[in-house]
Amino acid sequence: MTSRYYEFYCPVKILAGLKALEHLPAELAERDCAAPMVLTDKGVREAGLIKHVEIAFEEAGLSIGPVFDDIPPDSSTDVVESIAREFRERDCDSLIAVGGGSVLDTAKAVNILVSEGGEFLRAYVGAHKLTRPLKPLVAIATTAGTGSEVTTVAVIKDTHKQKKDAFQSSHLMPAVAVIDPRMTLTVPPVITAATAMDALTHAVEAFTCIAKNPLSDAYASAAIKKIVTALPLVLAEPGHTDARLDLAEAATMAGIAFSNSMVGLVHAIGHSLGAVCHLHHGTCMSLLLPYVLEYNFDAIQDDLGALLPLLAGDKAARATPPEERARASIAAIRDLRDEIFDATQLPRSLSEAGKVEKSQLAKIADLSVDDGALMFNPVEADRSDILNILEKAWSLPN
Amino acid sequence: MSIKSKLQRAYVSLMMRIVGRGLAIASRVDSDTAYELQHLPAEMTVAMRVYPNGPCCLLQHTGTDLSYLGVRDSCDADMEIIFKHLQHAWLLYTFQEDTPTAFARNRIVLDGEVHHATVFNRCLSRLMILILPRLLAKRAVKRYPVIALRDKFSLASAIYLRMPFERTRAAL
Repeated sequence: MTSRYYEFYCPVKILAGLKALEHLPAELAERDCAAPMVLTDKGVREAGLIKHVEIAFEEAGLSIGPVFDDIPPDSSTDVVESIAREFRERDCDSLIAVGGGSVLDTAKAVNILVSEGGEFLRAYVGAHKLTRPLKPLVAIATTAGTGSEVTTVAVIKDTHKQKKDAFQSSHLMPAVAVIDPRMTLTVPPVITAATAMDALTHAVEAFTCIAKNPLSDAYASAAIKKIVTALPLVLAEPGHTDARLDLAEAATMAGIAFSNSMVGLVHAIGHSLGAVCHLHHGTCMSLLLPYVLEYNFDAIQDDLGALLPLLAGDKAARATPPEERARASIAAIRDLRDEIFDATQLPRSLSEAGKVEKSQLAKIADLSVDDGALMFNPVEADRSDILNILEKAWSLPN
Repeated sequence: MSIKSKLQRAYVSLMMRIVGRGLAIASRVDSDTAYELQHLPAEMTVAMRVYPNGPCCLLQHTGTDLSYLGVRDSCDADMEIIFKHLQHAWLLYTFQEDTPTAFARNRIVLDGEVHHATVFNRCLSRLMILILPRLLAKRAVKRYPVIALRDKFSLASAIYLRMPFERTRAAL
């Protein structure tokens, strides 16, 4: 009798494509919401992206309500708690988050407090602490990478303890996610590349880690194919709206995949690397991915080989003997990484990143072993294994 | 409840007693387990329980070691590792499935902080490595480490010999 079992859950309504933002007023009305609070950051506001949302509401004869635009890149419990107070004072009934991972995670955390009650976020740290559906949250991603618009997780820095707390519950998922190509058009090439590599890592880890299932595999495979095809097009022509939309859709698909199958060692190390060295999460993913795939190689050889047609094309896959396909998949990821470096100078090694000291590697390894993502990696990794991976990722082989 | 379920429940309950007492002893006799436990807050309670009506094994970190608080029908702890069904606990305690696989297959849910669960899982793996024969232990953990037979034997003996005398303590 089979012992196989999996669960798959994604209740997020996804609005994707041309004029997707213009559907927002109707979506809020459908949920009986008339007073949304908009959360964003200064960069998004200065890039004029909130204007698109304002126009979408004006055309429907509505206004968007209070806008909080002071969310820092590394959001904290203090920020979340002050926004929650403002939300209550202004009698808001829903949230619209416009931004990258930090804004979306902040909105999810604010939603915990304004829906569950209480002044302090600390009471809800961890998994499965939420007991009821939260207020409607609309997520409008302005980067194509984190997948936060379809995930059950939020990560927020505890201001007092100076550590990052994870909140996980299916109730954290937004009610609506908007993928509108206008929102990612102004993202600079290096950030576009880093966030796309974050999405690629979500998809590859979803496909190769131990919680994979047939449905997450389908989303992960489709995401990989779209990223590999669309990213070079966007880097060559940043205004290519179709390719931008493909990248944004791929990030969401990768998000759905990893939200249901979790991620592994690349993320375990990447979270710690980001926390210690303040390196962009996508950059961490990009430079660690090939090394972790090599570390996991024996356990994931078949899955990795199956990805070759998506990473290098059907023709290249047919020309590669089955026993060499897994290695060829890693080589294809390295080729993509090098192509991105030529176009954007996105670092390929820890030393190239310029923000990491060799003396910090031990601390990164210490933190990584406590990361929850490690549980889902197909191969066990202890401190010395992780240190070894970090040493390999330090510089490119000659 | 069918006879099969009653037997499974009795077996799971017995294994929880062995694992609970084993963890408490290992926290005092094994330096690796003691090192891992430094990462858990003092007075934190940890439960492994079967949903909805137990059994439930309760432990507490005293700040220096683990106290075994007993196996009950229900419990409330700071961190709970919850088997969604008795059959899932049966799979784990008969070494047909390791803890990460049970998590990956959604048979277990965590109620608590994730990094505490990773620490506790390492303690659990360490215990399996120490007290089980290599063949069984390899099924219970992701990777069986290099461990000298003499070390394994002396630590396993220390744990097994103390087990009948390990008291159920009151919570701090």
